[in-house]
Amino acid sequence: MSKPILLVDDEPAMLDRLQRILARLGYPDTDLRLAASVAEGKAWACGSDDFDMALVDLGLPDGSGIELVGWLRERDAALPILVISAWSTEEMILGALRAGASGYVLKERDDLEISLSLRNVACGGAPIDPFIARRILALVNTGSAMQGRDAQGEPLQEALTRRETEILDSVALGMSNREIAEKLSISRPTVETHVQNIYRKLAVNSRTQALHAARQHGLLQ
Amino acid sequence: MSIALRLCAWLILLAPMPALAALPGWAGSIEAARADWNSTAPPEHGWVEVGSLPDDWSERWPGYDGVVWYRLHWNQQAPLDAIALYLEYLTFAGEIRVNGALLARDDQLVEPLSRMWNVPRYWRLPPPLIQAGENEVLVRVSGFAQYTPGLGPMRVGDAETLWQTFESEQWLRRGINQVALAVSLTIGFFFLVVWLMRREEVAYGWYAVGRFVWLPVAWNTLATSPWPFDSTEAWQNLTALVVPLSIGCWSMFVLRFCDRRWPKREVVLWSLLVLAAIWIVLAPHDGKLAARNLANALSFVVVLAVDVAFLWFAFRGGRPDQKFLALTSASIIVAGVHDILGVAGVIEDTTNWGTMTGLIGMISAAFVLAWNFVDKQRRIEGFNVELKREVAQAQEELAATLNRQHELEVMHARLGERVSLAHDLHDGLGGMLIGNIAALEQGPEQVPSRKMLDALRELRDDLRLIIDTAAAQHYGETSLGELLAPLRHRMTRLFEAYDIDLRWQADHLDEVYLTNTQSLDLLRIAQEALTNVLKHANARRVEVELRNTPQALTLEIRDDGEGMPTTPLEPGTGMRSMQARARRLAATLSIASLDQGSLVRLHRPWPDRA
Repeated sequence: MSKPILLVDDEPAMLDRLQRILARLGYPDTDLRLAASVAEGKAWACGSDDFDMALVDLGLPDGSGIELVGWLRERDAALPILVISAWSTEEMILGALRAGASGYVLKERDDLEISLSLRNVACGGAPIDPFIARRILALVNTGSAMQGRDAQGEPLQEALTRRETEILDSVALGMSNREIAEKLSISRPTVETHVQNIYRKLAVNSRTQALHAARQHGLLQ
Repeated sequence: MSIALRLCAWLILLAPMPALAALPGWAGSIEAARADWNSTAPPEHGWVEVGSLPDDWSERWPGYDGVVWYRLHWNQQAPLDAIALYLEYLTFAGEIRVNGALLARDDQLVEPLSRMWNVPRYWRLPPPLIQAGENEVLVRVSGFAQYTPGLGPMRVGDAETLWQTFESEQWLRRGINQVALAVSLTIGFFFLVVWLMRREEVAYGWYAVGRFVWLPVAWNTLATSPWPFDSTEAWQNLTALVVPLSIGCWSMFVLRFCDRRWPKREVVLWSLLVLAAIWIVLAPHDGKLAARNLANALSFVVVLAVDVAFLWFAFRGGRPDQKFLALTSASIIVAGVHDILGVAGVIEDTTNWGTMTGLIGMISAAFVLAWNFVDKQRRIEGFNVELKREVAQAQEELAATLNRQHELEVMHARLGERVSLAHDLHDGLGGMLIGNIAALEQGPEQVPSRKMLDALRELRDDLRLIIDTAAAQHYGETSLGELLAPLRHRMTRLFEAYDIDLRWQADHLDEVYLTNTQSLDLLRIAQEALTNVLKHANARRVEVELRNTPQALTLEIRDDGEGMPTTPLEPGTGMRSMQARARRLAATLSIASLDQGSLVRLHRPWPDRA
């Protein structure tokens, strides 16, 4: 019996859809903990067991999902957290990654695509796409100087390695992990690990900082 | 204005010189007798009693030019050690003897006569010269009937008292005139230079000219020698004709100072004044007095009129300096009238106000003109400051305008983006929606739900393309390489999920730019083709090649699937819209079956970039 999965989304339809997709991936309804707000999500987290995975919507009625992501990340460094977001919140997605999210998926995507991302995250993977890769590269290139809308606040915890930058460049071109693995002559899991490291370097290391970062960018009121 | 004063002084000079206040008459007998020009001793006969001093013999002997001896007696009481003789003036030249002893004799007793008419004299009379009891003073005077000939007030008495009288008279008749002459010259030169350097300051020019024209009159009060003339008449002509000319200058100054120009009236004025001057010079000897009096009267009337006009200009919206100067010049007229009335005996006060007010007037005129000049300088400096401020203000306004313009441009750009987004939505989603709605309206039951689902997915995919493109453009990523990346990423993941090997050859597209709509059309064609392969071809491997050469942009999608159906079916809406987009791109789209699989090829030649 696997550990439960936390689902935080205030749209019942989206919750239904996620339940269906998770069921297809082998997670029974009994393993799902459904929450419609930040408060409910925290209540579930405080009330019971460890989670296998958390799916968090960013637009919640009582606050930003980013805050919840940071809060969850602080409690459990290893918990896979997948952000479910609508389009036009891509700035928020980067904020969520900085708060400690393991990956994100857009609501408009096919069930198939969402299930791919879910499976990836559940296995400890880190989904990434050209858009986020570009934002991270912009963040690296602007360094500590915060300017323009590309600057997502604080610089990275550590500089990216050359290999990590190579991988981001490749992702930015639209290459898949398999293509990158072939191009760089490394294994696909190694690519995943590099992406995870990139996300780790991207994440600000405390919840306070995450909140600060979120507020600074108008992601929180 | 000092011209006005001088005019008054002149008029006063022509009339018998007013006695200083409180100078008592001569206590003793006064007699006069005529003699010829060369007489050296008083005549034996012809003595007549003279009532009092000053004496103008032209009243007694009208038209008499020549020498008149005056004989004055007085009874001197002891003590005799502090006695002095005081003579206010004699006109024009002469000699003075006391008890037969010569006290003074002027240089020129015949023409050209010395000009002693404005020279007070004072002698100490030591005891041997005078004696207790009867004493006699003899004064020989050379003069002309026209120029108030005769003897001024004379007095014998306490040396100390008479010295004080002499000194004060000396100051009034000579000292003050010396000061006035010096001031007049200085101011005249100052304004002459100002006018020479700034010709538009015409008022200054007239003022300077007026000062210089008046110089002979000022000098006349000080000169004791006939030089440079060889006759008294020449001197008198000069001083007389200067009066109307000075009045002319003064009138011009007032007009210009009040920013007035009266061309016709000015011509008339000058004609009159110049005529008067010419008449003075050309009049025969006997008519000189009449000519001078008329010219003086005319001048006085003009001065009066000009000063009234001055007051009028100044107090009908004039400047403060104009008011000040108008008042000062009016006060000098008042002083002049006062002095004339005093001389004429209409009023009792015979104090000469004119001399002092004249000097003050001249100084205040200079003060006002200099103030005016400095004020202009200040305004010029102020203007510079103002100019700087205005330039700064203009710059700010310009900056604001440019900002507004920039904002407008940004707004236009945004509107343009919106319009193009609307176009994109219409071209893609719009067409598909209309097509699907039409299909549903024809017979909803005939449309299998599978097909409906495909249609909706198609709509969603197109929406995603538009969204991805718009998002990339939001970050300024507009090259084909950047726009292609999201589609490539999405498709690769999708194909991987179906275990189809999707290979891309799409490098070096970062420098390729198409318009927004063209990029979208290209991406839609690629998406449609790949979706078709995924749905129908049953392929294992798909190759996508997007190649850019200087000649053309080429997209090739090659799969190893089942190939195109051998029996050409009616092309679907997807195929039709792909063809339409290719036409809009000015490209050719070909779909061909290969030995194994099929090839979709889009070829877009670059327009000649001459």
